[in-house]
Amino acid sequence: MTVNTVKRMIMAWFITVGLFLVSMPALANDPQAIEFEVSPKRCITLRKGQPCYAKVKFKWRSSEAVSVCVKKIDREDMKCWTSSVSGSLVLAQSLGDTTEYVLTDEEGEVLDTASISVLWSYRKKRTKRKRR
Amino acid sequence: MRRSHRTHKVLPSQLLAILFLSLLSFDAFSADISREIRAGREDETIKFDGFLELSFSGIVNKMPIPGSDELIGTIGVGGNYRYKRWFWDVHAESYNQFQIGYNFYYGEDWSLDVMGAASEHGVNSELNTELKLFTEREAATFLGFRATGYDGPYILQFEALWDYSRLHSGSLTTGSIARTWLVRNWNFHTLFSARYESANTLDYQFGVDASEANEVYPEYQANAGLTFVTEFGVTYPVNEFIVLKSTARWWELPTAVLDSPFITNDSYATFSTSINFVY
Repeated sequence: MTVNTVKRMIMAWFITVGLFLVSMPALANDPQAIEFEVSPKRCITLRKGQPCYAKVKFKWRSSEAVSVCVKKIDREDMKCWTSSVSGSLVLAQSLGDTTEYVLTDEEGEVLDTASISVLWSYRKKRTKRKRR
Repeated sequence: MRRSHRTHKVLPSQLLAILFLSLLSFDAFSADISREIRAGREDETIKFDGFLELSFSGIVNKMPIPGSDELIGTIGVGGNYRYKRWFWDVHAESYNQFQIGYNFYYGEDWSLDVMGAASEHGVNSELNTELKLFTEREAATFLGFRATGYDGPYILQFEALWDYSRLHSGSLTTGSIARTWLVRNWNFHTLFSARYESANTLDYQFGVDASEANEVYPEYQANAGLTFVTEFGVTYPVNEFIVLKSTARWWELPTAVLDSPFITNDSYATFSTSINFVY
């Protein structure tokens, strides 16, 4: 290993660390910093096609105060928060199939998503085409 | 003479064993309706589908047979598979323990099958420890057809079977109606069945030939008759592979067999609860 090679490695290290430090404030404002999760992750029915009942807990938190809403994808808002850094909600849900929930900002932009899979005990194969 | 259709001599104790079998029909008459109220209707659009089930059951029975055990533990294996329109069904708790057949019509509301079925299949010695010596029994093989109707939470089923093996040359005709309710993820159901059995079929189970009769089991000939079963059950899926079941049944045996020396009453109840592993 030559002296020049060592110098280049040290320089590359400083550039990498520098870029990371410069990007820190930007990450703090990045909507991706918001965490959104639901539990349970899975809901079990006896057989395919049955609605699955679950008490779903929605939980989110942000590094700074935001105004957000939780809803099923393509549905009405279930609950909204104004200028908050965290929030939680428990709702009874009847799930027809695997369901996706979204956390949106005031403009309706999706900040994060979370889903609950619906599984069943009997005949676990999934339909490839609709019943005639 | 009157039971000349029998192909071999049947001992009174063996007859008792058969009677146990006929009473040990923990699910109602028709396996499919008993299965479908829990596992649901098959999706015929899937080419190959099914499941295997291993069950561990605890049963309380009040059978009107002297010597029968009131508390029973059983391990059962069942399953249901279908390839295209061919189906294969082993239901550990059902009256027709083994069924194989072909679905020749299915629609939104009705499904029609031709099928073969094995009913009597040997003594379950766990039912009555006195019967452990009689664990082998020739099974009757039935052929027939089945029609199943679906209307929301209701399932209707009609089944007609004939003894193709000529063991007793009898017939079974069964009509059933079931309804399901879903409360959260608890699946409740009720099922009512009426089964008409020919004289040959009932006599094979409840009758005693002159050549077989003794002081304990005097000669007796049964006529044709109707059996009624009312069932209430609940099923809960713990996860993808574990299902809990509980079932209570009330049986009304045919008045035609009331005087059989094998039974002391024409009605009885059973209650079973089980943990089932489904794959």
